[in-house]
Amino acid sequence: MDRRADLAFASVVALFGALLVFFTTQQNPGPQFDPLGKQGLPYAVGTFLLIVGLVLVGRRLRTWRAEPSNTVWDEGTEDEPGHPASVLRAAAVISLTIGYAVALPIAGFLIGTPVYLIIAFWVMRARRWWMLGIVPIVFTLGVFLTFNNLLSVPLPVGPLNDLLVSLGWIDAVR
Amino acid sequence: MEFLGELLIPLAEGAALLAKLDIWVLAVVGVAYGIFAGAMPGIGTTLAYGLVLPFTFPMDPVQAVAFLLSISVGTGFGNSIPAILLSVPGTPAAVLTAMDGFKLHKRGESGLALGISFIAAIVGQLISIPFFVLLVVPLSGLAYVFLAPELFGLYLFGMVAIVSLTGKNLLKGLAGAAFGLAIAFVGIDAMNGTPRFAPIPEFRNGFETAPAVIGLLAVSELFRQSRQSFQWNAVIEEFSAKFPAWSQIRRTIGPIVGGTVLGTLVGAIPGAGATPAAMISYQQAQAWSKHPEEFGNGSIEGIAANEAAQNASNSGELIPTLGIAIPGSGSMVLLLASLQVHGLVPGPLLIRQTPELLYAAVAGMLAASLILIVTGWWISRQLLKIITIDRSLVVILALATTVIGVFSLQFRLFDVLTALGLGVVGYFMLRYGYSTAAAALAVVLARGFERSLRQGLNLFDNSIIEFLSRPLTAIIVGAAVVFLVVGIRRTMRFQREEARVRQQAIVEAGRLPAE
Repeated sequence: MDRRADLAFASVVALFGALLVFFTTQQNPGPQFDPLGKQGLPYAVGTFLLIVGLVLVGRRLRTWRAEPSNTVWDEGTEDEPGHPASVLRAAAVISLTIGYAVALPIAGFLIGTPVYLIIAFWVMRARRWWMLGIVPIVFTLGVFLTFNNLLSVPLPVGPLNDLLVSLGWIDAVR
Repeated sequence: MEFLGELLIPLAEGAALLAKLDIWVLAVVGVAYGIFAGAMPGIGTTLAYGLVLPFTFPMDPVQAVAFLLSISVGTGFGNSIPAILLSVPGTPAAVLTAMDGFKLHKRGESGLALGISFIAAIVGQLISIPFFVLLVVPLSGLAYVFLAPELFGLYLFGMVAIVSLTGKNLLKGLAGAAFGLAIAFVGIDAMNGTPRFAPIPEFRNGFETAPAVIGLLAVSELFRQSRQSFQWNAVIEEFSAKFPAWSQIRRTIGPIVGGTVLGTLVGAIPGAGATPAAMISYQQAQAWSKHPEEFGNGSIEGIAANEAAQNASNSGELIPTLGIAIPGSGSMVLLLASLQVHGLVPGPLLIRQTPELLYAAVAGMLAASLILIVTGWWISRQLLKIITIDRSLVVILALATTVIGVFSLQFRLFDVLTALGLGVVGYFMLRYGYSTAAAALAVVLARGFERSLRQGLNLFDNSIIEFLSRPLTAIIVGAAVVFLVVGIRRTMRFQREEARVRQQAIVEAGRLPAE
């Protein structure tokens, strides 16, 4: 793994701990029925994270000069060998997925899902016609029928709501 | 006699549930889905659970437990098929099956490897069910002597154990657990009912457990896998799969029995799970074998021990999960999260208050095993086509399913953003060695952990000495300390290895003369 990223993340851990301690001080203690109160454990956890973060930062800096390169022993889950990895691809998929979730109540499941799938497949370098054409449609319809008809869980349909209600495919109240 | 009754009643009640059609339907779906998830490298039981968890919310708790455990039985069987035919284990627990099984496949003995794996998986799973009942019933009986200090000790033990046995850096693992606790602090304080860390109305009720746990365990893994473009070009050769003869099966009886016992016991240790259970069983089988030289070169005893143990560990993991509400693995964390959505409170009294969960566990595992007996051999030969499905497709479809599933919980965008946000955090945690399993476990146990600590201190006049010196509490906290020591030793071993690799790299780079 890249030691710079590891150092950065350890710093974030320390910062998170510091912020947790700070925001705990801002809390109104309220009525206290026990010795710790509602601030006790947050103080302890925040302090622990701050200390751990600083220890991890210190450990990384201590061996900085001794390491010949920025790639160090992997303490996390490694990428699988033989398959190209790209952080940009992951960032794109994450952004797309968050965008899909935000758009879901507005665009509805029947429009938002195939659009998301097609773009996400493209990002993942899928170029076969059946993956970009058939799979999104089959998946969308299959999941919609499963949730709507089998599990009786109404999924949002966005602008298609009136049309589907008039066709009698979904209930009016949604 | 009373003890016999306590053992037989759950088995009988569990078997009685098999008269219900919905249990069979869920078992068939669960086994099929589990085999697929187990056979697809990178999916595994935890992710398989995470993807379908929202589907369990409309079910009743009995159906949910039976369904989820059917998935576990399926993944335990499915992971051996690509291991044998492609030398690619579907999950890490099948690594040793891949080593021996692929050698047999290359020698034209695919049927022998698949058949032994099939038999060991089913027998291991079936025999472990009464073991599970035998151990979980007395364990749940301890619940009546547990006060707040003992509960605190249990929750602490659970978090420490899962951190100590996984990961390469104990500090990072503990940081993961602390992060999980921090997430759970948001919302209404359990003792005085006032809001905490709630600057916006959405935070007032805190983060829902299910989206948080799905985000940390499932979404994070999917985001991590989306880094890679999987160009899966495996070539599956035609092979003949002749079922093994009785003389070959007879050799594996000892390893299967040994693997079942070891798998159940090791699987019961929180944080241990299928992989160490399988490896320990494999080592023991080699130690006792008359043909130890075969191990690693196509040993059917090795395959049998490995498969029996990893399948028996399904029952083992359930022992602490249902007995004292300490999840035995990441998938068990999700099982508890599912029960929480149904209004059940994870705790040592869970089984005593809702014994039907125990019956559902028995029913799910029994039904799934029976389905495997009937269909497993046929499935193992048909699964070849499924193995070659593009993994990129699976990852994206899984993400879409997760978004929909979490949204359908309460139709709140906040829940989905919780899952995705924690998925992003979990992605970085996975990349840099911070334990997402510990974080998820901490989210599930946090309220009980904090409540038991604060109530306990109240109970004992704020005396931490009195709190910790109760005999059972001292034993449990002592066990947590032992696991901490184990974790520290693991960390030091990895750091020594890291230093050695670094020194080697320096020497090779020519900066220092070799010592």
